[in-house]
Amino acid sequence: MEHFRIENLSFYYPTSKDKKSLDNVSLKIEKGEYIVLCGKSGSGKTTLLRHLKTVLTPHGKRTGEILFNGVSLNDTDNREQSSKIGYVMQNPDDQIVTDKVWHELAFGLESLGCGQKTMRSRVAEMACYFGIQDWFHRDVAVLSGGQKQLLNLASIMAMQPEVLILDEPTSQLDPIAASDFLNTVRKINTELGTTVIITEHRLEDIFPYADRAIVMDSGRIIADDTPRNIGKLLYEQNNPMFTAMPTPVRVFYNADGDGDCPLTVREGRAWLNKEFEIKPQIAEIPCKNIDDDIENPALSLKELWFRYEKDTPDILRGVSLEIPKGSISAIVGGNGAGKSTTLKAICGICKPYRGRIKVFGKPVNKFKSGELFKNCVSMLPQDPKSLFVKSKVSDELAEMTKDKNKINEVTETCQITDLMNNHPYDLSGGEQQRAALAKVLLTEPKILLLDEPTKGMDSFFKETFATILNKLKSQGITILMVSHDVEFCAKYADRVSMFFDGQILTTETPQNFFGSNSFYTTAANRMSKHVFKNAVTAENVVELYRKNKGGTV
Amino acid sequence: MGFELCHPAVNLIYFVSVLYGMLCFRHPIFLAISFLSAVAYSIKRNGMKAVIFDAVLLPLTSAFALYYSTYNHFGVTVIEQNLIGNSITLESLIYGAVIGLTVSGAMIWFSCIYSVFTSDKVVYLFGKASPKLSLFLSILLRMVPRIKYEAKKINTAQRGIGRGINQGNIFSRIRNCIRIFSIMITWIIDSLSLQSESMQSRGSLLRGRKAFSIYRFDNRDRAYVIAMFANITLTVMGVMLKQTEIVYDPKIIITPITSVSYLFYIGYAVLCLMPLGLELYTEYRFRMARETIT
Amino acid sequence: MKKSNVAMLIVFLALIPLTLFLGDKLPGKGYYITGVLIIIELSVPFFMAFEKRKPQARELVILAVMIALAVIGRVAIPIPHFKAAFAIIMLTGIAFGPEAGFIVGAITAFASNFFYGQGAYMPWQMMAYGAGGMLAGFVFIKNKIPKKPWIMAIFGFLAVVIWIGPLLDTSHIFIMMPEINISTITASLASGFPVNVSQGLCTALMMLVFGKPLLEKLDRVKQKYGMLEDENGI
Repeated sequence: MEHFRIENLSFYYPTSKDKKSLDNVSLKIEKGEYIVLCGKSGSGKTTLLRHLKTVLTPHGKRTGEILFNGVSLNDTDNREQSSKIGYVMQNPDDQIVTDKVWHELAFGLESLGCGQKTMRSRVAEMACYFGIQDWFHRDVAVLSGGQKQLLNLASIMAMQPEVLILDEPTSQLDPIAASDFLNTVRKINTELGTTVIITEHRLEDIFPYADRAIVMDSGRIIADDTPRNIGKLLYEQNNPMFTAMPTPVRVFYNADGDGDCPLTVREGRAWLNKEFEIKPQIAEIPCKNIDDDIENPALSLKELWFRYEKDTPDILRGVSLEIPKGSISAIVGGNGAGKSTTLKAICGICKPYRGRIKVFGKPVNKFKSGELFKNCVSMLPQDPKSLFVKSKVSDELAEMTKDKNKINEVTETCQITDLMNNHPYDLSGGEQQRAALAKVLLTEPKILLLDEPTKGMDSFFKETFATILNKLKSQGITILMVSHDVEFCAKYADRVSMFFDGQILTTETPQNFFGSNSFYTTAANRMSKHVFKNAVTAENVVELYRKNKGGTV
Repeated sequence: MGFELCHPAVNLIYFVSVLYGMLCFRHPIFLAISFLSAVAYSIKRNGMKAVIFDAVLLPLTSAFALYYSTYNHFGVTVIEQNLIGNSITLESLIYGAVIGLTVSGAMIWFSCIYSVFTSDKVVYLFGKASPKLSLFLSILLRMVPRIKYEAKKINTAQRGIGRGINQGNIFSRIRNCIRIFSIMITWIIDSLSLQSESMQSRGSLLRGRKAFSIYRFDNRDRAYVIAMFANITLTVMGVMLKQTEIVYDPKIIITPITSVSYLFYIGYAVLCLMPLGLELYTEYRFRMARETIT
Repeated sequence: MKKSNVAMLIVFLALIPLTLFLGDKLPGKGYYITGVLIIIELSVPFFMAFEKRKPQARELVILAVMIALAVIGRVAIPIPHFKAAFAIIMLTGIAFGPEAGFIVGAITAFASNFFYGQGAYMPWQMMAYGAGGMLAGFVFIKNKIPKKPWIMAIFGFLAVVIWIGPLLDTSHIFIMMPEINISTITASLASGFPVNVSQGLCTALMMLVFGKPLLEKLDRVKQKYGMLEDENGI
């Protein structure tokens, strides 16, 4: 039976009267389906999802109709919509209303006016199903991002919805929490039969299980098919969304593979096995070893020790690192390991109680107040929003410098010329990150520190961002980033350092580093490890594949 | 494993009655009972911190008594004349001490209340009166630490580009402060509108809101309530028999103490020591249970 | 003029003076009743301003933020007669219309008086503060006058000196003065003048410093969520 039916839905935002945000969208969603909605930022995904619940419907002009269970959504009363249509938004923090976990879990039930007994049993059920028992009595403020988002999901599931709508629910989470969260969503779909409609950047965790993938572009649905077929469609159209496909899919089509397209790493391995039953002749990506002796490093950290409070454990336990000039270095590692703290220490925001930091050979505490940030060091924070002060991107940049030429140069580098008149808060995650980068670049740093730059960015924006970084590198700027994003680091960094237990364990080239890892590595490497050595990106795998097939076929 | 595990309603009734007794009984014996119980219980709950807190209050109390007696000159028993010829009387000195003890006793009881009453309990009790009010309170309780956290985060981000509140000269510091304030307002408006969307999406505007509680009224609560009311009744009887009455002006006049009086004293003392007793008893039971296991 | 605007004027010109007059006769803490009555009367045009739909939670939340800011603006500045509250109330009126301006002003007076101590003057203050927000809303209606900081600053100064200030002083006449005649009225207005000028200067300063950024923030919310505007745009 149909759950939702959308007929010829068109929508304009009041600010953009000429441009349709949704253009004649028609869609049917069956009960119990798991649907993934993909598309570039600004393609109308969120706008479409928000139309599926009246209270969240954006302000503007619309035509067309939406039916829920065969009844027009406007005629479905608020009570029914509240309980039957669950909606999880992007930012876990903004959705939590109350101060205690147990209260948040019961929030929806309180609104529905359930009896005390029903509430108790439902809350208990949810706490068990989602594994919340251990932190049931805690303050919301002490939870991690992943726990918060799980709590949002549980609070909505307590109302026993028929449909679960998720709008990029993991964009603010680290990879491990994200993957846990998405597994829970899948479990809800398979075990309870709840219809799931989700938009997500991390297609690798969703694609293998989704029933249908719907691709949107400028407010229109351009593809609606099973995940296995959608890759082909996008590849043939040469659609930029193809870059967002899971690694196995990208490798498969770029290498012109035959047969069924692999969706998971397991299927990818099987496919490569079949293709290379005889050992390939060229089985290695050549890579150089890293220079251990760096002359005149841009940045050198020597045995830093730091703790936040007198009686808390050490966060940094002897961090040593040297960064050569004009390179892109990445620090990877687990959550809360102290990566961001290292960056803060370089900026002088945290003061290590032991060890030394030198910027261009000069100890950081010898810099006078403010001097460090003038043409020297600048940091792009994890949440780009916290940099924005003004109501227009152009004003943001004008605030930093009076030099028009400089501003023009930076806007061009960061590709934000089109965004100059927007409010910074209204930009998408990737656009915000670029606008913030532009602002940071206007301090003309020689060393640029990036804290989780790819958080909340879709794959398309990541590529744009990477070209910007490469351009900056060619201008001689030294870049140090801290990231969870293994794929991004593998593809674009010159040096990768592993951070663990308050220390930097190793520093290697990405090929050497990820190539020798089996777990903490990229999907491309996991998929090709048994036939190729050091192939850590999809491009590496395709290159080797083509070299071999070109020789043998 | 103490009084804080009792039902919030029990906590509330208990503390209201004890505070009422503390503030209204001027009779020295009742006052002493309540004050000493408060000290004992606060030390049991807060340990060393309470010892320091209580110890600081005592000299303040005597100082207040002296201060009071130099400005109030009622009473007949003159101790001495001060410089400007006003007489310091025993009555006013004692009355000052009584007021001082009452106030510091109430403060010590409040320190116990703070440690027993967590925000959950307050939210629960409000929820009984009005679920909407308790929701509002709960939102506030979440908002305040969030705003603090966010302000800190924004300051850190601004420091990363050299515009924190403690960077640069005094003018740029002021400017940076205003900038951060401005960002905070944008953030609060934005975040609150998202939060209200999330609330509405979960039906916050529907009629017939109920408040969820994680508390149960169990047998221990029942026993406690019965004991509490027995002692309150006894104390009220004492009040009706004028056992708590005392006059300080112009002369100290107490209702004569008879053997029945002791019954009321005991009733009041038991009332004031109930939570302490409960906690000591539970700990004793716990230790006994542990010993029989091993 | 919108229906809600007309209702607003009726409430301001007829209902509120009537309430104040009758409220004066209430004994003891009767001013609480008067205060609450005024808020209830104001909410009629306020809800009418939403036309056919119900106000959304986020709209109320944003007005609550404005009230909180105005209260802070009054309580947190330690200089007497130099408070930011009027500027914030007026900006609310400018951004969201006279109805919202009035209700925010009235509630600000009600709430901030809990820090200063309530008294018989409280309903009058509610009326005067609210009238400031309302005036701002009417003056800047439909973008006829450009919302430039300096224009708003001049408006803010004049509004305090010849509108809000005298309204507040009138309350002194009714409450404090033993009898009402020309001389007591002029005495009361004259004694209030320096205070009003000081308040007006503060309002103008606040408009210059915070007018633009705050208005921009409010305008953005207005556009994004379609707060308090007609269906066919601004």
